[in-house]
Amino acid sequence: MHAPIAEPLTRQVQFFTGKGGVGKSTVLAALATAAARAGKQPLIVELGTHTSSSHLFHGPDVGYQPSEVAPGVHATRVEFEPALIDYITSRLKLRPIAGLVAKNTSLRRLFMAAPGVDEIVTLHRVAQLAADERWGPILVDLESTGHALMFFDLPSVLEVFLKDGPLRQVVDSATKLLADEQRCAIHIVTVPEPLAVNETIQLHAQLRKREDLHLGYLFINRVPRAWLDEEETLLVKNELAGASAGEPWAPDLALARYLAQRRLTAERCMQGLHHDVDLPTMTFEAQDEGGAAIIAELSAAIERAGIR
Amino acid sequence: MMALSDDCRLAICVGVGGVGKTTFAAALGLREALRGKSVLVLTADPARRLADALGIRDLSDQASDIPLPATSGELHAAMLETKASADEIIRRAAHDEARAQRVLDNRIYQAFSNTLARSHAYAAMERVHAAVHDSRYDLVVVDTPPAQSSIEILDAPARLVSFLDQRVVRWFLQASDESPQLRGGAIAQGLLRIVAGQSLVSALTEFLTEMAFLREGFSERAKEVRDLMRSASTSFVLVSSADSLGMEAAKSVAAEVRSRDFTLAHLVFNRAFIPEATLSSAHPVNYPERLAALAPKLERMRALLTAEEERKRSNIVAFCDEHGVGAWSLPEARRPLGDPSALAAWIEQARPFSHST
Repeated sequence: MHAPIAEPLTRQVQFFTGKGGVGKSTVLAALATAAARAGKQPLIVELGTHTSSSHLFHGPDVGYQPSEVAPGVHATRVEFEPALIDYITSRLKLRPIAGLVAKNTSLRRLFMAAPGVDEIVTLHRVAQLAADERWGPILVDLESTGHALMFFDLPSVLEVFLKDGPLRQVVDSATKLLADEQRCAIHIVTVPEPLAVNETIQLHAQLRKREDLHLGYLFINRVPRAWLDEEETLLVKNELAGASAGEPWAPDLALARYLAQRRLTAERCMQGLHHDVDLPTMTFEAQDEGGAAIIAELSAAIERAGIR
Repeated sequence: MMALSDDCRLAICVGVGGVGKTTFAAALGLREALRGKSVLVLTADPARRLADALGIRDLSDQASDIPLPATSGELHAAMLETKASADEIIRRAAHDEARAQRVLDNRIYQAFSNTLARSHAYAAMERVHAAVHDSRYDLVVVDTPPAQSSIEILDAPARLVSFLDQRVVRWFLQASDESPQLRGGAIAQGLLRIVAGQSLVSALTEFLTEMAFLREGFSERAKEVRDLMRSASTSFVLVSSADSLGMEAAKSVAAEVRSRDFTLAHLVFNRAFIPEATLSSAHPVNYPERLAALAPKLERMRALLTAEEERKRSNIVAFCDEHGVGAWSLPEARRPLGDPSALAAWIEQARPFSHST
């Protein structure tokens, strides 16, 4: 007998991917906020040099050690050097020696230039955080789609020449984690705009080919507000073509028409996504600017959706 | 009208993902081609965005011609294929078919050349260099990949050379040698064996042995790339969104450009306005009776959008003043910019910002 499959958002490790600029970090921050309110211990994991969470939560800079960025929400950034030292320590057991290895000029150059080192130490760090029972859910903010695919492909790339040894263990534990549908889910974040939708459909198809990966939700962010109903849209169109042309209020009508068109494009995009991406979907309405307010709105939407 | 200076040979678009960098690179290339130049737009982005923006089915490593309306200029576009470019780099640096083949057959080389971010970066810079020296093009526009720090790609050649530094490689490879200055290498190799495993270290040693012979070729090229980046005919164009999160990201990218002594020539803020919202009257309008039911909605729409545009505008002004660089703002795209005429119409709407100091 198999245990029933866990609801994706209740799993311990969650990866988020999608085209850059679709608001992955905002969705992640909202999910973390909702999880914290539900009494869990969410940890946001950011990769790369630029962190969004400290800015989103109006908090201090996020570093390598998890720090609290909002009530109950922790965040960490996988910085290369400390992650490398952590990895080396896990092999050598002696932190001072690990530090020396990481700081050795020659080895350092080797590590800085060698392809794959980044990805390996990142995988190791994520697995290390996942092994710490304190954290759950762990929300990993992956970079853009191309890099996410590289990241998920790493274990199979390394497999080619790693028969045994310590890296083999990193790869094995990462592979095991990614393949465990009780513990891990990969979510896709997108916006209802044509370029983003094309990319999302391609990304989804590529991830689907990988039977060892377990997809969770499709989050559609920044859905433009429906300002006008059908009747009003028609009225605006007719007015602009006729009685209102050249009148002082015509620019307002043109703006209304533009917003109605934008909404229509978004609806078509969502239909396309619905047709080609067979994942449970959550949509978030576009919000007027303001980091903390966006997170509050989105996390309230998550709570209303009743996902725990 | 937004344009590059006439002596610009290389325009590098940098910025975080999702700000419309690829679309902008395509539009900029088109704009310059319409001014009579022969332009190559090169994307290092594995996704198909450049092909989508230009309305063509596919892009490959070979440059495709983009049909343009009557102009003396030409527009070409290509997408970097890592594997092909990486093999090309090895062949060029090796000067010797047998040696090149040994590297190409190396399993470390094979595993990484087509897969990982860093090998992608090396290959990209090689391709940029070759394109700038290709007499068919007056201008090369580069769309950097959508990594969080797209500018890291520019460091790749220098890193490779540093990695292949003769002393380092000798130190590593001759670790079995008993001379005292090399003994450190033996210890390091021993430690590396513990952290990375015997099989990887052996494969790596084999790889380095072959690569070490190619160092000179790489070193020369890395220097050329560095000089190219700092040349007066190279312009860095920072593309960003104009909301507060975008401004944060733009600040860090600008700092990275500056820290490398590159010149930030242009700032471009995308989705900074909606032309209709700007035209829409700022003062209350007396709507006719037949629009009375709709009027409150129209007023709310206008208020929200003009406030948003104003926030973005003041963000841009502050950024320009802080960096002493002028900027262009671009409107939200009307519809998918899926062909040259739509792209051209979009970039026509660029609005200039100047800095106060």
